[in-house]
Amino acid sequence: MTSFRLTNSCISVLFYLIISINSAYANDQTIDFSEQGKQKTAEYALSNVKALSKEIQGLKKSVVDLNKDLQLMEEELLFPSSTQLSIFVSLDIGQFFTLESVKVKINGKQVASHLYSEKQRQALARGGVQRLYLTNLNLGKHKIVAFFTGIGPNGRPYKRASELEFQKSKGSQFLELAIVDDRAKQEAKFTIKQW
Amino acid sequence: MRNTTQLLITLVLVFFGFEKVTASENESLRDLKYGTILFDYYQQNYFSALIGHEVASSRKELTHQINEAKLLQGGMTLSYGLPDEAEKIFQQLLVNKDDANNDSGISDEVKNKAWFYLAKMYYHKGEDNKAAATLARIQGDIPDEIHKEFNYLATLINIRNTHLDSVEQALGGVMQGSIYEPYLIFNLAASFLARGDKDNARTNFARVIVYGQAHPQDEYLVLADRAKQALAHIEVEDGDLLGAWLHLQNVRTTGLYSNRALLSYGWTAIKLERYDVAIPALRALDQRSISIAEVQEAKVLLAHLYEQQGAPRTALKQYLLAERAFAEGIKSIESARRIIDGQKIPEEFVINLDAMMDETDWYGSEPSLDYNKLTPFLIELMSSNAFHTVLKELRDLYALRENLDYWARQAQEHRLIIDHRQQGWSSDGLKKFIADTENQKTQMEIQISELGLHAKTLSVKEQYRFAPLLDSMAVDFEFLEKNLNKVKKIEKPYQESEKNLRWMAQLHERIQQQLVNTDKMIKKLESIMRIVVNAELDKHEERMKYYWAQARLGKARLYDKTLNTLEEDALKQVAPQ
Repeated sequence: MTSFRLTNSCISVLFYLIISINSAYANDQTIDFSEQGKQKTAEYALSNVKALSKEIQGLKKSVVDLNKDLQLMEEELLFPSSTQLSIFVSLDIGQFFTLESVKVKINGKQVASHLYSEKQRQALARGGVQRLYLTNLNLGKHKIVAFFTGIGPNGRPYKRASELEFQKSKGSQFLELAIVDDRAKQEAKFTIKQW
Repeated sequence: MRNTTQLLITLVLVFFGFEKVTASENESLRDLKYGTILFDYYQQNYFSALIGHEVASSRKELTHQINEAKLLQGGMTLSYGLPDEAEKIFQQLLVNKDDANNDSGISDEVKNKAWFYLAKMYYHKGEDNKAAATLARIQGDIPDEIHKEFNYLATLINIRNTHLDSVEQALGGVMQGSIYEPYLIFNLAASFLARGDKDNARTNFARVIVYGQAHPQDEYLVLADRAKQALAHIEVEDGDLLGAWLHLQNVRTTGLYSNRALLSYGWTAIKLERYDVAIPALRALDQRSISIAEVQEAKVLLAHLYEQQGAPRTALKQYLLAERAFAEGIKSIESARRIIDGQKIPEEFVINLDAMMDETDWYGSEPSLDYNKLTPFLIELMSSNAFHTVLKELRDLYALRENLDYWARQAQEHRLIIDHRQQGWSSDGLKKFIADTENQKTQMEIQISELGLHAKTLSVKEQYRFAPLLDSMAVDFEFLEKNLNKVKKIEKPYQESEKNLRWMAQLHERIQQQLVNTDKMIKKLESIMRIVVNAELDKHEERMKYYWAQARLGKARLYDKTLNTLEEDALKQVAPQ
């Protein structure tokens, strides 16, 4: 949603004029309906926020740094690079297919599934890539099958599967479940790409 | 300097009005990791996106789109509420790279976007001259995504710097037909009014009204209502009550600004001695929530009007109803105070923050209110920028606490995994495992050879039946033997390195430290929020008590008058005797 706003100065001018429109008629508007002391305390409290803002910015930054370190440490602990396998989902355009869900099986066993929200679909369509699954896998041959469900051309329910036999070698391995519009066939193409 | 900047902005505006923008809308995907950051960014999960960026950067995974990633990092940092850090990032991206002799590989598109966001940030910080100077550094093609916003920002800066001729020029050219157009016209009108140029203010407020008629979407109609009230104010100042009244007649009677309009309409009619038309407006207000300041005033005013019109019974009834309404209002304030003082209330506000704010801004500025969802007593307060900043900061702090709580739980799991690994893979444990397995292997070897011998005693037909079973058993046994030999070869079992364990312990300690810091900061902000909200409630309470007292006085006056009349009547009846 796009928002449009009035500038602060214009808002204050407008606020002033709307308030003063009644004060032109009545005295009630000139009454200060508050204890001045309390209002000043409130104003002072709000002005303190500016000073706190620097501290909050510092805190936010250090928590981001901490999260980075924790993620690095946790991956090393739970998913060492020798056995690590990451599965990603990407969508190019998405004109012929509205992705609703993805299900992944590795060696016949279901390991991941995901139901997409509109926001996630939009993010994928704009070039975002989702890391769907992270796991450990033995070295050697494996088979992955991905099932895609959604709405295809002409608004019909659409279900497709794609599979790939791959060799897990040493080092982190990345697989991309890519959904690409095939303009010639006027439908989506589903592939599994090994990086 | 100022004139040069103004000229530059004007020139750029004119230039871009005719320039075809060539940049593509979607980011091209060249890097999986970059894509995962975008995935979070486009969902406005700036915190996760920033972490993703930091992780990918520390692993040197962002190899292809370094400058784009840096620009994105600046944008995410800004959106996450770290303007100082964002400024540094944008400046790092632009420093030296702006030098024509420096072949840094930064594209014009990235450079222009960086200048634009930097300028926008300065504008929101109120540093107008700096914003104008930064915006003027944009050269060549402007990326399509920011093209309209660029023109809008340039016009806003010109308004703030009172370069109103340039603004009018932009409105007649590049901004014509833009979705920002009515807002700019309104801002321009308000600027004219602030300078005392009523004629131009009138003309531009009228343009906003015409725009609303041509585009009857709610947001433009709201803006038109505000313009009509502004025009009414100008007429009142000029002593033209009839003119003001005519403008107020056209303000819609629903929506956020209708209360003020109805009350103004009522007052204007009273001044024009058109009591018959003042009453319906005040009665419309009388039906609304007592928490609205205009409604409180209208209740007493309506009774007073009846009184003035010589309808004491209707006036008395109105005073009595007003009294009851004020009593209820005071009760509502008391219950609002109890809610605000509760343990959890600031979180409630923060949870509803998204409903009050528009979601897509690089830099949070003024809130746009959702009238129905807010506690009625706090509507005015919610539109204050400072209070809104408190809410926004609190929202982020609650999110940080949630994140740190998650990691505190994860820390327990990390320790569990490490303990398990240490126990399960000690050298002694490994030796025992090998010895036990060798014993089992010997037992199985004996059992298999006994089975083989037993099979030989059976008939040929039976031997034929058992042969495949024996063969498969031999294969399984061979597999077991192979694995056992592999395990035997392990000289020292795998253990987490001391370095990793120390690192983990340090990180776990940092989680606890940050949790303490976050809680402290939350307490400070919650306390500020309670002070401010209570001060606002005080204001409401005092106003309500004032009008309540007015209603009581009115009632007493009418009772008094009635008693006097009764006494006079009684005296009149006694007198002739």
